[in-house]
Amino acid sequence: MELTKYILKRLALLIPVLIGVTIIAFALGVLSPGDPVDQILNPDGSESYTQEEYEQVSERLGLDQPVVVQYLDWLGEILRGDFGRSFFTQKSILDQLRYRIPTTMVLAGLSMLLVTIFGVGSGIIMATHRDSPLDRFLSGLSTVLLSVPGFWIAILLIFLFAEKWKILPTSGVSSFAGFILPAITLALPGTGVCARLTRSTILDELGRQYTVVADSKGLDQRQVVMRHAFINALVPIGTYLGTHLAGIMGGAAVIETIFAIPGIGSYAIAAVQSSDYYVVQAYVMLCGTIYVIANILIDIFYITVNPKIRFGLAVE
Amino acid sequence: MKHMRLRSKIALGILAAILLAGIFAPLLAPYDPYASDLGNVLAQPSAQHWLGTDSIGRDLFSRILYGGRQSILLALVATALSMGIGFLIGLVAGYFGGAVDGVITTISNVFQGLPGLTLMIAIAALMGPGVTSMIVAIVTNSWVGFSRIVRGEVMKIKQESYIDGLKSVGASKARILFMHISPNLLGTTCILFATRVAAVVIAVAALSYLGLGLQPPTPDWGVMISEARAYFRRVPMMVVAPGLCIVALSLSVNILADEMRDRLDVRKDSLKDM
Amino acid sequence: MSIDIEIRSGSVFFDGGDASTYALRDANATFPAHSVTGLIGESGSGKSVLGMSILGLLPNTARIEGSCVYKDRDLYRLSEREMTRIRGSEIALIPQNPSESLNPMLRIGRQLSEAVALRGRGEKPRALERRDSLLERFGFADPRAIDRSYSFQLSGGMNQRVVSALGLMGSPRWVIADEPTKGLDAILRKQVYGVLKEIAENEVEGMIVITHDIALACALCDTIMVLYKGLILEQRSSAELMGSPLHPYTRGLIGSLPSRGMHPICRDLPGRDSHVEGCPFYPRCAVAEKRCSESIPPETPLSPNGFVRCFLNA
Repeated sequence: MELTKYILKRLALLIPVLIGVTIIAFALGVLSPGDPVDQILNPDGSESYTQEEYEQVSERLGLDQPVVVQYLDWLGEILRGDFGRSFFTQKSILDQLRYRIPTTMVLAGLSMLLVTIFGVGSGIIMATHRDSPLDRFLSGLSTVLLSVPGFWIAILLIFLFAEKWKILPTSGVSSFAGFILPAITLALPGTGVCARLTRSTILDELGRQYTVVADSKGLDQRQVVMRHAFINALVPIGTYLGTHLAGIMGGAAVIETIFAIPGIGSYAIAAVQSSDYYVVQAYVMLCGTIYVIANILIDIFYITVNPKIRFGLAVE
Repeated sequence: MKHMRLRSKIALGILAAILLAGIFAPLLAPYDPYASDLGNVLAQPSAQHWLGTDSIGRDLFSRILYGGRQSILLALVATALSMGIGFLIGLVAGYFGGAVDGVITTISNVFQGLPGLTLMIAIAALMGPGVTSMIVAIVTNSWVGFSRIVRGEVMKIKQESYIDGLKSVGASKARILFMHISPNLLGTTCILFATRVAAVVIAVAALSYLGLGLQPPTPDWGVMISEARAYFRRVPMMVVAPGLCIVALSLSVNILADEMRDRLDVRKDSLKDM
Repeated sequence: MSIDIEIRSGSVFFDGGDASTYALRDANATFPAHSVTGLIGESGSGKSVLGMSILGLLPNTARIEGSCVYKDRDLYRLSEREMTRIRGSEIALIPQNPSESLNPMLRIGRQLSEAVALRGRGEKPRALERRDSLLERFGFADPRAIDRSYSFQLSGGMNQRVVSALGLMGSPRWVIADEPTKGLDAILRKQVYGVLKEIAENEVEGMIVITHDIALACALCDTIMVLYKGLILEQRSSAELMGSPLHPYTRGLIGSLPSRGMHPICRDLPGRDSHVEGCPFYPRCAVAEKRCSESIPPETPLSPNGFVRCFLNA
């Protein structure tokens, strides 16, 4: 009973967030400069039209309604899966998104994998070899990683691996190899943060009483770290990874553009640059939804790992 | 000052050098960063041009000196604004609690749900690229962090002050709030400020690179990298130099933030994901 | 080969902070096998430091001097790997703060069995058996239920019994019980006393009890050492200590017991500078003389066993 209440409470908190995201996404469309009616009647700026024609199209598009009604209409369409059509290409936005999402998923997934393996892994190494030259080197490296601009590293990496040494493609994802450089570039700052976080969390746990007791049982350092400190450190680390996943879309968009990867991020940026607002709206919606889903995953993770939530505080 | 680690001292030195170079660029730069010399494009480093010239003959060294000015100022102003707004909102949320807090927390979550670059790009698209849109974008993204810290602190004080509150009457609750603000809050806020500025500098550079932030012909590191992209093979310096400057700035700020964090020695979770 | 634990000139200080301060100074203590020795003192007296130094469980910032000999080896000089082999199986800890000493994320059963199960293949079934039988010995009617539980699901008293079982899992020769009755009410204290007495009589060959509970120490221990600010001030058999305490501090401690009238020991007396070279108790000693502030009193041996550090008892 406690558990269900907890889950429901968490879900209840996320729904307003989702609604807020839709409002902002819609607002972006409304606030955007340019007049969609004018765009339709006069796409290249050379035709003129009458007030009547204007009002006709206006009505057809539903733009004469009050804003709130427009919002609800739009919301209804979204929920039905109708994201409208891109101004630019007149193609269905939903189709484009469906076509491009897997690419972005692979990119994001690969990058998350790198962050987890190298971030957590190096964090553990640093914590177990505290203050050794290895620790100092890795700590410094982690700090550098989160201070480096991704787009700049991308240029350097492309030059090295693609142009000079020719082992990876310069752009596009015709093969899986095309995902490697972008995923690495996307993963760099996250790895730095994750490594530092893992290190400090594990060290914190190693200062607690129960690790001293674990020592006293005759466990060696590796066992104390992996069986005790790390398990407890999983909670903040997992929460961070979840938050990172939630926010990965923004960085992915830039990386996709730089590496010319046909994902939803590059689609959105191109749309921004050509003032294609329906696409931007859809993209913002999608990002918000991913954020909410990622948060749900964090909560599930938290529930699974932390026994206090599952068992409450039952006594005796 | 004496107890600072070597690397923090170096970081401080580098940061000071960057800031001074930026402030005194008009005095230090040998050339006008906008002045082009089409007879001398893409030159290698020489006695006249210490770092060479770019694709339309502008002196790279002068442009590098000027390169941080706009982004650093932008980052400082935007982050300060975020801090101010975040502080107020956090204060309100923490002080009033209850429904007000609930609403504010939900709104915070919404803003966090539109993470970083995505929102910045969208806002830049909305308002047209430029300084104003970038400030709006940065503030929208960054205020949440500050407001969370302040809110937490105010709620902590409120708990304590309820105990004191038996003695005091009404109006002086506000006084108690201010009197009990821990020095921790100041330190935590400073650290967040520093790490945000470092991150914002990079974000501004990224936006400028994409053409959504500062525009050419502004001598800005991010813009310079975008202009230099095509010429990388011929004159790698054009890309490497501004990039290194960004790294130097961001890295030195992060190292100093680490130093502050160690001094503070606070075991708060909030610090760990800065 | 003797299995006594003998500390000679043991000193511990911590670096970092303002100045290095000695948590333990020039400790000479013999813990004979087949007996229970108590270390009593206030917070900061160094009793925990002494106990933990035997097991090598002091924080990284601790620097140890002197020697601690057990089975012809100096524990202070052993490597971490060698200490790992001794901990749990030869000398074990019953830690203080049971709720803090158990990992809240792991089930209790696992924390108990891992002390033994990880020693090698084939150890696991034996570990599980020992675990459940120990839990029964400590009054748990349903050991399986406890195995499945988490520490936050049990009461303080139950956790205390769990960590007592934990210390015994490896069948050690020696057990160090750290503050076993801290924060417990009178009923639980009595329970813990019973458990420790059982352990001392039937399970181990030697026990060290670290406590500020004088009554517990006197009831449980054969010998008692009194510590104050890092120095061992007096070491006597418990009967002698209760009956005729020598050191002014000890007399103050005994006098402050409810059964003796609860006379408090005074705070620093006026005019007594606490940062002097002499006896650490000088600032609070009603009968101190001038020489007490000038140098630390040496150990004065007493017959048949024991010693006292006090100029007035030399």
